[in-house]
Amino acid sequence: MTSEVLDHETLAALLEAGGIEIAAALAEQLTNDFTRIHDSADAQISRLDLGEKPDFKAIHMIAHEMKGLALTIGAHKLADVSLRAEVLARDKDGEALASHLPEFTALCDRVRDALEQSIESLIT
Amino acid sequence: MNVAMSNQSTLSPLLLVEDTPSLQMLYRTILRKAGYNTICASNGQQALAKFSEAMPSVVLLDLMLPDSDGMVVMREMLALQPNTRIIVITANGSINAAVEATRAGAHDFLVKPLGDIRLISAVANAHAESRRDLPADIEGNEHTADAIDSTFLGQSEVMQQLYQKISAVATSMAPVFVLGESGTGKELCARAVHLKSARSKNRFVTFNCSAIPHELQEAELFGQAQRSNAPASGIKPGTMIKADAGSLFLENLHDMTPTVQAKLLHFLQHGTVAPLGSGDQVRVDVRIICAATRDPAEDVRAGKLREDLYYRLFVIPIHVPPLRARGEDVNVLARHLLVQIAQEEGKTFTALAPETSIIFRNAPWRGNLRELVNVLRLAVVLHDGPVVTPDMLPPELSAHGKSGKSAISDSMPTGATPADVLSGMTMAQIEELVITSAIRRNAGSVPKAARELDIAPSTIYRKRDTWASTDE
Repeated sequence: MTSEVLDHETLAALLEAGGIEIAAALAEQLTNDFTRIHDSADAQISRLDLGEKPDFKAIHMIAHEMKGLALTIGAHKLADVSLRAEVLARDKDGEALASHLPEFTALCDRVRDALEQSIESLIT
Repeated sequence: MNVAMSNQSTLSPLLLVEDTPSLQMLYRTILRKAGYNTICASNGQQALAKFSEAMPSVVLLDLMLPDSDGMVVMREMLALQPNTRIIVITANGSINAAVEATRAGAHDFLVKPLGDIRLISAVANAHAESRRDLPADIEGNEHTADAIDSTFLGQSEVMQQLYQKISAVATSMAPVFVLGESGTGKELCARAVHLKSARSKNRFVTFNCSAIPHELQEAELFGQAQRSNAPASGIKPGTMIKADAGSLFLENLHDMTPTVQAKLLHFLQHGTVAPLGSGDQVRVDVRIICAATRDPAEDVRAGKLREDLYYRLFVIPIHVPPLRARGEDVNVLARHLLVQIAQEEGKTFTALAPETSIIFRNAPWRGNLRELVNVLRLAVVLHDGPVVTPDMLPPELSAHGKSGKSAISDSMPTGATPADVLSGMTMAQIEELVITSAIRRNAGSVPKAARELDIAPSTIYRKRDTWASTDE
């Protein structure tokens, strides 16, 4: 089973590499990390919506962390979108970020949903 | 058992610096499963505090940390303890940072997503390197079980099986016969058997029958009585006596003269040797480890090796796999050797281009490790670093990046079918080959290999147990 945004086999291999004894804890932690990074990105979008100056350093960290996580779980499209956000933050391109971050968070949502479904099918 | 990670509990802990909790949990679990005592930090400040406290010899460091630049953290660690092996972790798109880190003193770098095999290999190599720094008086003896040459390390399934066998046979006194293609590391394997045995504090002596003229073999191996005006001891000790209480590594038995073969047989039967020209029998305690590139039974059939000697020596066979069968190990070894060779040649090479890694993975490596060393040295001598790209490789090797052909099809003669390659093997050997290959293709996962072969995982586990007990 491979969804459009998540490679199920990569996730299965990941949970197998970690070992069955921590699969449930690892799955929970992955979901928590997704939620945390997503919420941080949402906060940055709100900030931009209010016309505040973007916190490029924070956005760079958020995008970088999501990129590493996305690569690890097999969410390749999200990794690409994260890399794009990382580059825009590094280049301090606030205008482009304002239009790119919603795409980033929307994809985060889709991957998190796919992740939860995959985890459920793998662990149960 | 894993030779690469034997006695991990005696190693200093490994420091893992990763800020994403799920990734930290994953890496820590993989490392703990491999036997590493791991302490963790989530940011630069924590990392430096834990580093100062534990002084680990190996650090896994994410370059992008929430409170500090990983490069700065790395420099501070190296200032505190210069011989620390720091493996930096980076994500796709940050390769330049990884190369910069390597120039600044990082031992190695890993790119996310991290495969468990690559992660463990990198840590095992870093530990092997760091233990080389330890002086003999700290180690107790430079020839301890952990002093195994790092070019003999590997994470592939076939190498893990080899380590298990070495560990199993090391405690026995039974003769070991190491078989493998030229350049596969048969001597390193024999040395590993010695180093894992109770004899490890004593000598490991080699005797290559092909390198010693026939007329000198007897005196060289068993010693020689001195002439009458010689010192009182009267005996010039041979290799056998020098190896007393240790291990003797015998190569190319087919080149051993019939007289020497008869005396070796006598030693195996009675535990004594008679130096040339002396009527005295000297008792020696030596474990014999032989090596050959071909089946010694062929030498028996050809009349070059005594049959009774063959049965005395061919007790525990160990097969050292060729480099092409070791999967991703070839790239781990290549990176390790590249840094060594670059240092020797005063060059800045630190990494392989991804295309080079693909070529290395697909190449048949008929010359095994020796060929790999030659290819790397050629690239280093003729070019400038830091990355080995495909255009630096011999053309015949570069072709393996394009064809995508497997090593087995590369090594097939024209007109041969895949089944012809298996000619001469028993059904049990073919079954073992097919199953171990499937496990290797699936990165060591037995359940996945079982799915690929459409058999139950328990069948594979049962067969592996059978192979292990048969080997012993």
